[in-house]
Amino acid sequence: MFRVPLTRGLPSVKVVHSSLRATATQAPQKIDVYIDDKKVMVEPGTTVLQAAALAGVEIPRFCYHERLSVAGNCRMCLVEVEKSPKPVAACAMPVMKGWRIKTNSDMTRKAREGVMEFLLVNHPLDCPICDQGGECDLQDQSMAFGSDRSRFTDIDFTGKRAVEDKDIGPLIKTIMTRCIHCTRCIRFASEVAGIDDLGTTGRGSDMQVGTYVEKMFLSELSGNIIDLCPVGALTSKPYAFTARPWETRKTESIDVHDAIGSNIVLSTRSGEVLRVLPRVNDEVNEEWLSDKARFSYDGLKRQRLITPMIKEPKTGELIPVEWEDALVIAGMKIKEAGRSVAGIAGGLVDAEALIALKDLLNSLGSEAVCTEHTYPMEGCGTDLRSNYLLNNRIAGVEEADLALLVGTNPRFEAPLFNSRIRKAFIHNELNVAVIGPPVNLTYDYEHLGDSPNVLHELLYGSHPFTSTLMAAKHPMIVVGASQLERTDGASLLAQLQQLATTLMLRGNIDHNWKVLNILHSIASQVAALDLGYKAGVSEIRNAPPKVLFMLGADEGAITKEDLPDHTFIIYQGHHGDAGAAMADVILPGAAYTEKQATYVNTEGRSQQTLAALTPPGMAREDWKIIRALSEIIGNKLRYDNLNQIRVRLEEVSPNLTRYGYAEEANFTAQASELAKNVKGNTSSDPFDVKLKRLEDFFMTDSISRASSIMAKCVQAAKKHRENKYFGSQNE
Amino acid sequence: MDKFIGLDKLARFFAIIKQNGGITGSLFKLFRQDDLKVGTLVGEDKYGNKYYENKMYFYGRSRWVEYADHYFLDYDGSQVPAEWFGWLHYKTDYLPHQDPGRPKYNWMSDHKENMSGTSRQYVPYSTTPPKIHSWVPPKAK
Amino acid sequence: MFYSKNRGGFFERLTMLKEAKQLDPKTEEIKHTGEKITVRAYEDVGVVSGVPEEYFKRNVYIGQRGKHVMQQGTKNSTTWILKFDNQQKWMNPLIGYKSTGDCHAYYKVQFDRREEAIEFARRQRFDNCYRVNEPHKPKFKVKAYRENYLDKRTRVSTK
Repeated sequence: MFRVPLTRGLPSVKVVHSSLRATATQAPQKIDVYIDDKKVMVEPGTTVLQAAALAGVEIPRFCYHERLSVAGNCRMCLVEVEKSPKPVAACAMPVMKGWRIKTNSDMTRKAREGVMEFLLVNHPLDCPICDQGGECDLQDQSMAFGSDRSRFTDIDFTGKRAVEDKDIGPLIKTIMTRCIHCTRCIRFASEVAGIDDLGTTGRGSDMQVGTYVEKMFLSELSGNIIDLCPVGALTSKPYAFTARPWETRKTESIDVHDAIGSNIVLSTRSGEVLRVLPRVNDEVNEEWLSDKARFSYDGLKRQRLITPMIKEPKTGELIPVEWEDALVIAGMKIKEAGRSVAGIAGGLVDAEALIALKDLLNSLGSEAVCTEHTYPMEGCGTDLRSNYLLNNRIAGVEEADLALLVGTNPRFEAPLFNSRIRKAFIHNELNVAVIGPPVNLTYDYEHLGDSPNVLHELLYGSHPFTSTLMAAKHPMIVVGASQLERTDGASLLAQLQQLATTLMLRGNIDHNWKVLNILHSIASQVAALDLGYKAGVSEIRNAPPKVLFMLGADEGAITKEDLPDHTFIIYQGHHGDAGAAMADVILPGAAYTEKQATYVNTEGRSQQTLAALTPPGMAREDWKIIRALSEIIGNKLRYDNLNQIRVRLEEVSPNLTRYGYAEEANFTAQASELAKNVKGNTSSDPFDVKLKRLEDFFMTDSISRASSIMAKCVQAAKKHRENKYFGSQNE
Repeated sequence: MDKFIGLDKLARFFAIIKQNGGITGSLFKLFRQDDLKVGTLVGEDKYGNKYYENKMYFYGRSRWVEYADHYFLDYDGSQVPAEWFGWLHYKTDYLPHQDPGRPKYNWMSDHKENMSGTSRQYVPYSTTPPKIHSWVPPKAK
Repeated sequence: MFYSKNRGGFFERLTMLKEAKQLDPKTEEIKHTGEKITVRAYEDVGVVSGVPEEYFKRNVYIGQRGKHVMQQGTKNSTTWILKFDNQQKWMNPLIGYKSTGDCHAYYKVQFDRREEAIEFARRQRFDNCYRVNEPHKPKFKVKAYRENYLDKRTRVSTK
């Protein structure tokens, strides 16, 4: 009945007391504190606020945030501690043994009410026109803890405080009068985003949060300060005045703009996605979301394929037709072609569509089912999963003590992976070294050069960095998948594997610690390789088929020039882009917000999107289209519904249906052994990355290319470059 | 005496038959209008509808319209133009061409009959912009 | 309740219910949280619920909402919610409102515990039931104000 056994991998809910008893003998000794007379055992150094949270008591706060440093400046979390003459700020005060904390005493309530009153003196009463209304911490907390009447009379004298709004870019709208100076945005910018652009000027009631000088706050993670802002001072510009939070339907889904697979919530109303918010998942995206994932949703409404189309033979123009006509023509051509059929899968395709296409083409006798992006097939190729996964996991960076980034710019290829590296860099003293172009990664690193020869030197110990690398307890080598698309990709990978094996075979390493990590930037790649797709289109280029089935392939891996005139091109996808323009038949598919589908991220974690909307117009879910086509061809696929196709997925690769879990891939040693067979030498061409600057980041796939918000971002980023205050750290 | 023995009714019957174009004409009109009347032709509008009056009939039935032949059986009240509407419904006793207060401007448009229920009926158009913008394939060179 | 054509007449239903009892003789005692009443319930309520057949084939999701990232509060974030998938909607051409013919479009049942939600789904015969979104609990990490001043890589020019 249940697709996934419901008991599988439940997060074990820990009862605080029992778990504490189990670990009570371990150092450090836990201490007991009493929250509203309820005893809690906590680690020494825990703050009052955290101890209260463990006891299930929420203390109101504005400036405190779990993922940022403690600021202690809003004073909302004041609580009474017994025998203390003054209330203490719960977020900054470490608990002492035996403390009795009262979170609901008269003193506490009075303190909160006082803080609330001061905050509201300097806060406008514009909730009805404020976009934060309904999800505003200030609103809620003034309801719960504020006074029931106002003593504000200054309106007759100096009036309310007013602050000029800032222009910090096309994504974030500022209404600075609403700012309560919690400094969360400043802390986020300097700690997580690594852009020290935000700060405060002035003191007292003249204090302002801003950028000091007139410049934009442009970062690949800038949208997160909208979430962090507890009031309506920072709101989303594209979402401005569109909806109230209680009007929208929320659908939990997965982002597909990069290979991280960030967990998201889609807010929809009346058939459109109104905004995208992150969902907390500590193993993937923590609580953050990249700007491309957050703001490119308007691309889902433009350039869409909503009807099937066929190319009219006489005029050569694509004309809208009924499903039946399109499918019959496509089916006829495929039948005529016999075995000379090939398929290319693009970057946004889900596992269900991938398996349907592969099954269809295989049943016709064709083995040419390829992904758009190349991956070395020599050695063990993609037969061993450890060969193409981020084996240490995204969260694994926090355990690492050295990261060697080879030919990748994680800041733009996988912004949330980069923020993890930065987190580890800051809190865990992670050392980072880079082989590749010297891009700005928002943290300091040792640049070892940009030539693949450095790898060779590291392997044979002639590089000065070797000793550091060998001394590392938990080293991580992160390779950008785009480097393996080079002609010498196979030998590069072999070399990296060798290096990884050398590191793993040292005495001072954990046996479970894997070293080699591949960082993909394409959402569909891992699922495609798991399902046995051939990486790269060279096979199609060498032997052009009679019918080419392009499943969302928009990156131009194969162009019209690569194919003879008689090749019949079927394009299936959701956006009119490079692929649709060259097609003879277009079958409109569904975008990631419109289907329940499986995606596997770069660490091999399979996750599913849910349908927040239905596909527009006549568009349908991708695997259903292929299933319908298979019936017309006469090779009917064996699955009729989602459950059945997922059973088929499980047959091919069981990890694909274990949602939420990253399956271990363990054959690193064997992979390395097989890699020794790889012939060919590494060329000494320097590594290059595609996404070097912020403006390169915003438009990378057919959805973000169709988005006008992303286009504005690109323009803003380019314009920002001309700003005289544009500094080296913005580079 | 005629009245007494009903000869006047007979005379009117023949007058009606006569005015309506003999036996065949009368049968045709009866078929078209379910009614035969005699009266003075007071006017005709530009669409060919003829307007009659006969005070002999009681108020409410004393003014009527015979629709132009080309409507055949597809006549309805909305085919009466606005200027005749008032006279026909006893709002005024002036005939349209005799009415001194009736404005006449060049910009006044022609009367349009109600096309509901036909293929030319008025259908409200969407006033909302489409939420999904579809891809327009590039024109072939 | 008993008028749905495709599910047979009243007596047929009764036999079905009897059979269901015989097939699965163990009747379950469900104790609702916070209540003292014990309810004896049969496994399959879907048989007699009167819900049209096609609804049983629809995808049903059970999940927690998780914390709303825009706010600090955690209320409702741990409630288990059972809801149906989205069906086709159409747009009113005059004013652009979306309409739907799906009675279950806004169907949402909340449960305190996961097991209750699953039990409900099983008893209602929602065959295509998907478990989604079990929020990951963040790891506990002691936070301290003094970290701002420790010689780490945190402290920077601003603030």
